[in-house]
Amino acid sequence: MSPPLFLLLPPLPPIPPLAVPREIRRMVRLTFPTALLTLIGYGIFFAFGLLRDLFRKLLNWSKSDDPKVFALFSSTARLFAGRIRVKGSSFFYFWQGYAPICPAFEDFYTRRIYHRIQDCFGRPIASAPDAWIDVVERYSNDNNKTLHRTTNTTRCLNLGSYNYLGFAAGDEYCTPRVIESLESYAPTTCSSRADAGTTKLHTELEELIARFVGKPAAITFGMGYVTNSSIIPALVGEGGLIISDSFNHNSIVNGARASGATVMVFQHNSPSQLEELLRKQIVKGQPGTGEPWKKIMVIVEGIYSMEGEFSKLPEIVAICKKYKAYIYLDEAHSIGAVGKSGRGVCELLGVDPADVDIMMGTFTKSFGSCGGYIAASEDIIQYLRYACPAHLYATSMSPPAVQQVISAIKVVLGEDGSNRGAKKLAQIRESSNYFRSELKKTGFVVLGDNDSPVMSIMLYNLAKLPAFSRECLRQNVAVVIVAYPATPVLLARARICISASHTREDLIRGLKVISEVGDLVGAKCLPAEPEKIKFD
Amino acid sequence: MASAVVNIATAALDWVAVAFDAPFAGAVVFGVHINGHLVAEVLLIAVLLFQLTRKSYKPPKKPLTEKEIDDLCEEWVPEPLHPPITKEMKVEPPTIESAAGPHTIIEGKEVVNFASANYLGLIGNENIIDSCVASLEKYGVGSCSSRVFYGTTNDHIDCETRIAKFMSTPDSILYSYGISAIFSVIPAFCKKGDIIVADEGVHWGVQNGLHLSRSTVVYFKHNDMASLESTLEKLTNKKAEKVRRYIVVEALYQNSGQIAPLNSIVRLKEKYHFRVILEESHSFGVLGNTGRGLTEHYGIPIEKIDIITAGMGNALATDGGFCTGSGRVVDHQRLNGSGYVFSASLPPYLANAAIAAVNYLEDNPSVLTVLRRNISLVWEVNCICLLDITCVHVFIIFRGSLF
Repeated sequence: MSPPLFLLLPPLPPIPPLAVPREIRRMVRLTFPTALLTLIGYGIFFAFGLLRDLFRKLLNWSKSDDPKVFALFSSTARLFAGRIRVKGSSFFYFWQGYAPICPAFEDFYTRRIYHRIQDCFGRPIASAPDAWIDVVERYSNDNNKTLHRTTNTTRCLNLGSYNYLGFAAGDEYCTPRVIESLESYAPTTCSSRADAGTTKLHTELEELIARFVGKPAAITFGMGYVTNSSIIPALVGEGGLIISDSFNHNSIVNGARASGATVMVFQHNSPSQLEELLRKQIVKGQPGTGEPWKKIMVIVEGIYSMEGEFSKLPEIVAICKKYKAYIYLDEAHSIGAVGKSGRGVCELLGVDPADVDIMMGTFTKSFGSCGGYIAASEDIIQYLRYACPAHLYATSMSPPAVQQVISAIKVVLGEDGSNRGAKKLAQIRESSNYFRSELKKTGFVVLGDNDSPVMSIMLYNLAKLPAFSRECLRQNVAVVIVAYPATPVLLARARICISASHTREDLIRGLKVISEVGDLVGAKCLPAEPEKIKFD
Repeated sequence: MASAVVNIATAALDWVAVAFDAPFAGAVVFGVHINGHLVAEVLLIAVLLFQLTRKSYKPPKKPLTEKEIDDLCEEWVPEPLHPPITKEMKVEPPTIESAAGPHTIIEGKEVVNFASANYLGLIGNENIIDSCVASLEKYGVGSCSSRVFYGTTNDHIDCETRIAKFMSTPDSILYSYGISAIFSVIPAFCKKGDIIVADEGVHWGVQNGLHLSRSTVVYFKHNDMASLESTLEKLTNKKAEKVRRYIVVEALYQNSGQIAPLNSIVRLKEKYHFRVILEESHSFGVLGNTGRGLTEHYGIPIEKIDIITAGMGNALATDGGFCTGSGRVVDHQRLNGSGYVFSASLPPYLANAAIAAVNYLEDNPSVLTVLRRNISLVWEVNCICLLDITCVHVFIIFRGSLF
């Protein structure tokens, strides 16, 4: 019996989800020709990838650990040599009887698409992530599969780091205090908070952040991701319902999945659809039994980092109050960066913090440190200290990082005796509004609300992404490009993050470069405004 | 009265009998004798068929009116977000007022610290503090970005290379938090349909990873090799060879202090073709002659273990975690490890502290001799516990004494 021919064909890679709802298409101006051309582009990449996989199988099959190849080999061997005992036979030493750790089809996207543009991601830097950074040059000998560093660096304008208030590099108020705390408390406490990991700094930070955000009490963790993943299961369990925005971050998705509650998704930023879903679910009850839900929690973010837009918080809070659902607000990007005094999305949109049950945030973006916090009522925080696994088992936040946050918040509040905080907040608001409006004038499709320090330039086509990124780097501007899986397949984009340490000259330079590169790459989907902007 | 009813009943029955004995009742149709009961049966079948062809009766479903939905929503009362606060929940841990070294200060008093996992005594080490200060002055505290977007500094790559060189593996990957290493690694390699055999005594981080992976998880008795063997035997069937199968164990169990017998595990793994994920948070820098972990302790070549993860918040006295293994294993995580892609990178000064700690460990293997001497001293003095004699997790016994 000849080996079946289908064994020569590679398995189909998993099809990425393509469906883009109409509201989103309208928001990002995804027209039919653009979508078609983007899909064709993907199709070409996939076709080449499959062709390469086929050749790899045919030429390197003796070294491959893919079971399909082995099946081909074994069936051929059987044809010639009769029944051969495969398992445990020392002759077939190269295939040990294990299923491959990374099956060919799971890795397809990584190997055939991501590796082509790998040089645009993970660029190492040799300086602090300030307004200007030293990007390390890399080279590759094997077509981008592995990249090696050189000692050369390029000084680039940094439009990619989350350094909203400019605390990333050393700060005149924060750094001396951080070094002092490092010498008193050591880089770590080697212990969880519940054992011997609580220092005076941790207690001080919790009181400060609670006061800053406007809640009675707070609890801090060493990593923002772990905050979401371990708090959500502690608050909602089986029999509960979690309704989360469709664009929520991976940490929220993981936390919701780990909780054991039923998870439903509502259309991004659509309070009317949320209300409809709530009404339907309260009436319907739990799936299967029809018992009423134990509790319902709605999870939204302050700023959605891939779009740069704010959530419609006042409407969502009103709906949650009406239907007695609990609301969990993730302010990872908005705390410290928006609002008149930096208190986040609640201050900006006029929502009373007492109306939001749980406020979560991270210290990584605006405060130049690491870690996350939860602010809520005293009872909830007391319960979380008892029940949250990250508090009980994970190492406590590093003391110098804690001191950095304390000092940064003091600067923002003006408690360090200067008005640098207010100046930084005004600067970032002004800079982001200026940058966004200028980008729109030149004809790009730009996402992002007014006052938001994050904005996205839509590029759609997969081939434009690396072109945009490499050309910008050549002209000494460092930008970030995002594609699937962080965004929907058809909506790849370049994301810009403005910082308070960017000066007006920096922004003008950045605009000039992006405009030129946009022309080269063909990313200007809208007509430019009639009056030409003169760049120096 | 009764007789009248009886008469009527008899008359009715007679009539029925006559009807059944009607002329056709005794006929022979196609060789079949038609008797009375046949008529009744045919009638019954006809009635049944008639009923079956009718539409089933459903009570008409009226959709709820808006007012009714409003009423139901008003009636529904959710449970509170937290259960009632008990006295147990109000217990506060001690607040330390200095570095968490072997001696620390609590409420102004100097105490001996048996609660921090500072196994090599690196808290307060001058070299590490100096390298951290240099790093803080150069890079500031946070890296402000994910590893994928300008959050990678030269120090991160150097740290990964240093750890890989120390462990003699091709490559390693750095995570920004110790506990996130294991719960990112397991879902990256174990998907729905895969089989995982895990020890029942693993800590919360591993359990979270197992839950997130959506694979079939089977637990075996804590540190019991016979139980492991029987579980592996049960799970070996022809179909199972096409799925990925893993054994997940900790080298030194955080919850019980026991050491996993890696030689038996490797023997079983090779017999039943499972891959091993080894969690070395508490054994890295502690076990083995030079602190290279459980594989050195048992003299097993490191290539036999597929994936090793560890948190650096214990022996290395820094924060963060790493995972090491073959090149393919590490490369896969750079796009699929959720704690790597979706989280900010480790602050550069902590990566520097890790490099300094590994250098110190490599240059001073005698620190392990001191550690082992201290452990045996405590075992001599206190024989309360009936744990495994090779256990090094003495702090579990004394955790309560700090309060």
